[in-house]
Amino acid sequence: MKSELVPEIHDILKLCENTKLPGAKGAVAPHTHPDLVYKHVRIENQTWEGVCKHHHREGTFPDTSNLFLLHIADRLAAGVSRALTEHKLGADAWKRYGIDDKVFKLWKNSFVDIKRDKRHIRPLNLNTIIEFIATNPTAKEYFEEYGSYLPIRAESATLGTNITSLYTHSKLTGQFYRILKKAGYSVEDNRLSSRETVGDIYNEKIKKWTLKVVRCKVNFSQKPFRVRDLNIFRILKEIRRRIGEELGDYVLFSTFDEFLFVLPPNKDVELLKPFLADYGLWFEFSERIQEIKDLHPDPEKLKKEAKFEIEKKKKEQEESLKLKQVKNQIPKDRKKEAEKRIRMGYKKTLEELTEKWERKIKEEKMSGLLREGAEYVELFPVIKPPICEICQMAPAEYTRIDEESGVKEELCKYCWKIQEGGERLTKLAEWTYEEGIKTAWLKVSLDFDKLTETLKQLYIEYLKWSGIPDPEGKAEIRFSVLSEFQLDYDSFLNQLEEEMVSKFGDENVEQILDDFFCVKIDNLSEIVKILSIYKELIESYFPKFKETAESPIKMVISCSHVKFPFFEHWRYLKNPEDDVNVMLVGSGKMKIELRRLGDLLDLELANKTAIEKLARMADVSEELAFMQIFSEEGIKNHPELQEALKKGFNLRDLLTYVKIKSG
Amino acid sequence: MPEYLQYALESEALILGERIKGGVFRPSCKTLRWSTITMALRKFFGSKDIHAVGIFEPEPETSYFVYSPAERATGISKIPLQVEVLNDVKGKVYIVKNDEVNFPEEFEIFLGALISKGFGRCNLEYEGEINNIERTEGILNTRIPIKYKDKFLIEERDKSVYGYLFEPTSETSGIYIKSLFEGSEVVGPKFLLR
Repeated sequence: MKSELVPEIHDILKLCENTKLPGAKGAVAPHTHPDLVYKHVRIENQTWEGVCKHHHREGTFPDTSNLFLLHIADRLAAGVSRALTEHKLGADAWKRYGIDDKVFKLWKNSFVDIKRDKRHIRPLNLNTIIEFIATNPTAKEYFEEYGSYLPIRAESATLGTNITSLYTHSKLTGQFYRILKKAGYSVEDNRLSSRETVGDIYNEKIKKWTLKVVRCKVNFSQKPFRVRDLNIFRILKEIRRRIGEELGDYVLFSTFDEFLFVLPPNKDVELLKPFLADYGLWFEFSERIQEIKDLHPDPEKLKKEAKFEIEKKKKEQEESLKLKQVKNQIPKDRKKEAEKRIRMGYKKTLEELTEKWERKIKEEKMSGLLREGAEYVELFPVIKPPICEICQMAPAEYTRIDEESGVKEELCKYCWKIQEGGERLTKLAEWTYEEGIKTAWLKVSLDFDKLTETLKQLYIEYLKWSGIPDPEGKAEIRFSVLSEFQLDYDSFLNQLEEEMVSKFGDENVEQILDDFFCVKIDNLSEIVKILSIYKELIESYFPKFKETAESPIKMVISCSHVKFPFFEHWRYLKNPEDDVNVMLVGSGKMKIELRRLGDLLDLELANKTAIEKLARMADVSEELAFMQIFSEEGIKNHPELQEALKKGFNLRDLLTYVKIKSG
Repeated sequence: MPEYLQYALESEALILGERIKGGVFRPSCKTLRWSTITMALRKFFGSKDIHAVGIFEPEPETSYFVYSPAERATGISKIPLQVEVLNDVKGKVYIVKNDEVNFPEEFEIFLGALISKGFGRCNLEYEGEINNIERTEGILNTRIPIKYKDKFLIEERDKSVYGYLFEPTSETSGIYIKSLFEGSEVVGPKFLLR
């Protein structure tokens, strides 16, 4: 068979309707009976072999090295942990917990959306699939042909496990397959002689073979002030595109400055350097070499486990002490002494626990399995003046004279290159030449740690609902869930851009990054439009994040006169303090939780004259404005503010909102 | 093991330039880096053997000051500059104990830029001596040159944030030396960590 194995297509039978197959009673799902399908249909290509032999089952099993790698890649790309596979839950899990072919998106779907045992997304018949495979299709052709079904069909239909789509799973299986190949892993074909031996070799290899999971954050030392300094963002966007293109299979998740890679163990994080070298960018990283058996997307898992265990123990101890006090187990006359003794015992236990974890982490570090650090393209021990005035990280080698002001700028080779090509953000550049222009900078950020934590909580809730025992022990956020999330997140950002352009007009929106915009506004009240767009999109894409204490997606708006130095906005934009943040430079700021955004936007603030008066008052003195709200007149004029305060809004946030509304 | 003298620092308004000359805006550094406080103390006490760092607590509020420096020869102002000012600054200064200098209980020094315009006056009040220093792993809250990190009992960990601080080599010249910046993972005295 000369054709190449296309790993992405391995699960195509999941799209196949129930079919009568020789050897089966009645119509059965072909995917769960690959042996019957294989006996019934032979297609002379590797992909068909992969479709029928990627599990080790009765009758069919991976009998070549490539099929064996596909089998492992399939497991790595699964949406659920090994604890939730049919091997652990039992082959009849689907009968006990029910099935729904549609993906249950943890960040979007409610339990009422589930149609237990009533929804099949299996639109193809076996003949169509056979004809398609016989054409030796590529992965691209597969995604094009069945692109309307793959993103909605769950990879696993059993309730509690249907959290990723067949699209994401197929794409990831392809990536993992190629990563395993690049790592040089293989098994001699003649060892794969029976189902039993395949099982043994599988159990051996998933403990022996390792992969490296790396998390990186790209940083820049430049302090962008003017429009041409913002070229740094264009460069970051371009770097992300190039990394996606050139290291595509290794990239499992990314935002504009963060990357999650899975690498063969012999590959080094240094592979990022060539992308950053021209611009003097640097990156922080954490990497962990892990057995394939327990491959986890967070290389800092061990550190987080340590922190969690220690905090848990501290809490337990505090509670235990309280309980002893309540139960009067500590005699009053010896209370102080006894408490001291108990606390000393607790302290010792905590120290031992901390030591145990520190030893574990140190051992991993010493053996080279765990590594953290920061990598710089170039660092000088000493720099003789002049130093670059923009990044202050390299000697200045170039002089630029600003045509307008005549100000001289000494630049290093990196900052010179970044500024090359002049001002690319043409709309923003034009606005800076006009008088009296106001702009709102809008940045959306994703907190990766908060995301995995939130998704895990949501998954625990779903497993509880599904009735699967020990949800806390089984819920694990794997690569495929993150990839699935990434699809929706990217789509959310695209939609955000479209909405911004549609509401403000293309001429008034400058997109700097996918998640970063500058909008020309006539008055502050236009910020309400941005908040409304954001709220609607969150409700449409990530409604579940409104129910959590803290959202992993955060938004910051910073508003000022266009000529206000960008770096000051950036300091605020890059460090969101809460879920939704608004800064009116020199005039106030507001930070609220995502779940309160709807209530805030629903505030009527009907008495416009009174609101404008209050906003003017707040500009002079916020204290005076506070007094006004609680005065007799204030209670009469601002009933909605009184109501909002009762709902728990912060007074300062409300005053900033009043200023926004009054324009 | 070095010992430190702890001083409380207070200032109404400080401008600790980030040395950005390219724009018409000059931000202020939000930490009291080694170069700023050490050079000010060396100048005040006339000793080259002083090393000190500081931290601001809480992070100061900021405001903006606009001024227009005039060219000396022509007396003409070209462009107005906007300078970030740290207001009502409170912090701590840690001076490596030095037998050569007798540091007073209370003294006044000037830090940063635009001193002629009334900025930079700082009052330092002695709070005590720190010995038996408790070191722990954490995130650095100031800027210290690598070559002087031992003086502050700082040990680098895996993730370091580097930058450069100015060190004079004579009355009129100096060099930029590689330094650990705020945000670096280190093992060090608790009082220098976030």
